Amino acid sequence: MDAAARVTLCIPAALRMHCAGADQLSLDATSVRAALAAAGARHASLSQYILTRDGQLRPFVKVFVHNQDVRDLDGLDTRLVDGDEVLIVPSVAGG
Amino acid sequence: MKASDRRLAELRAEIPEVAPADARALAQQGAILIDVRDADETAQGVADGARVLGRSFLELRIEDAAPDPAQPLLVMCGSGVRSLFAAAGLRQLGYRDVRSVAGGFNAWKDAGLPFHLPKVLDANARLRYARQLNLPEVGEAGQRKLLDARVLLIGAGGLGAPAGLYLAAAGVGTLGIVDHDVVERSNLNRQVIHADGRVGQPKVESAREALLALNPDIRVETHAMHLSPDNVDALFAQYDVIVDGSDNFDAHYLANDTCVRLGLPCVHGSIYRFDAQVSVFWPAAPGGGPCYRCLYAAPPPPELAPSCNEAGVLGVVPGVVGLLEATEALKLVLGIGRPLIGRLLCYDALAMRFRELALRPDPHCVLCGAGHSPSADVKPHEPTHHPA
Repeated sequence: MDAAARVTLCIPAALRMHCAGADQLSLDATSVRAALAAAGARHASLSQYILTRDGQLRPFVKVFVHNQDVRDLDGLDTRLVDGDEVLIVPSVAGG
Repeated sequence: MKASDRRLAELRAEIPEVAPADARALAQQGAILIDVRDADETAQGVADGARVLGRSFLELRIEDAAPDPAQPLLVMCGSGVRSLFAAAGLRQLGYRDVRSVAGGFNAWKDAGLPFHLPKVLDANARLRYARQLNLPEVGEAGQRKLLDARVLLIGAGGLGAPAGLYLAAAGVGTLGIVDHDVVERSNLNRQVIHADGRVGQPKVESAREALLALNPDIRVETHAMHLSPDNVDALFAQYDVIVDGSDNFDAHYLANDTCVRLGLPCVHGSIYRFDAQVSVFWPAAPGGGPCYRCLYAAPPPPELAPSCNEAGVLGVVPGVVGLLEATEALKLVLGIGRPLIGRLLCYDALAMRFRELALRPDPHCVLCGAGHSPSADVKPHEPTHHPA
């Protein structure tokens, strides 16, 4: 089993209400899926906003690693290494 | 013999000349036809396909028009004399295949070859736009593109206000504004196109007054209505570029879906508190590109959508984002730079950080993905599926 990497989950303003106002979470995870699960263990409503009940990304949320959409990498199975930043980018509509 | 006559004789021996009809044929095969005449001369007509660079800044501007020194260049003036001097200058810069059009534009016209009358900038316009006319990326040809352009602003709110002001100032010839709202005092911390004395007025009228006060030479078309699936096609079809400054998901999706169907670029901006997103969605772009549904296939259900009215906004954030949208709109009209196609610019004003995220067309996009016909698959505003 891989050692978990220390990664940062970047929380946008629109979702900070789900994690007590934090703009980032420091997590140990080897994949995007594991990072979201670790975040969900601390802040359940955050992962509920990002993922469906069957663990898929919702259509109004994107996740980026190294500025790439994880859809274009290995999806939620995209591997993470120490120092990686995982960006949550939900749709917002204000103008 | 005068020095200029002696030099001219030397140039005639040095620089190959080409007859206008042959120049046209070469231009159609990829040679660049360059017009070096002054503005008052080109106002009388410009050969079709010619790039009007003028003589004064020719050496400074040529590399933008012809980055490859192996590219064949055809230089045209009024009668075929100044073009010899200009051609010599281009050869000194390293261009290897430079020819002069014999007899210049006069001979071109006499030969019955096609030309057009460009829109002329009057003295007032030359003063108004002087600072941007000096930019090689704009110049007279670019300014005429701006004057010919038709740009539609969706919303005269936080994003549309700054975008509209700067597009008007830049001389976008026709600015449309669609907004069904009236000006409220609570708008004025960010919607700088309006004014305290116009509270209660329809926003489109208030915006029109401000835009024409800034630049009376443009045309402002007001559409005081709620954008809906029933009116959106007829409205968008009148414009070249759509600047989406709307403040709700329904309008963002309606704008995107309509732009995809009509092949129009949609300059998108959206904000939440100190965060913002900007991109250009344009699947019909020459190199292709994603649409908004490639990024977000569907909006959040209302109970999950972040409420913008409750969220609050500091006016500078939509100010910055509206100007980023205006910048993209101007680049699209001018055909310069790299538009934000396939890139999502995320702005965090509190951290003062811009991140650029890569976006690709989604092959499974219900609107523009492979095998989907934008006109058939998704109707504007079709209810979207939200997995629980």
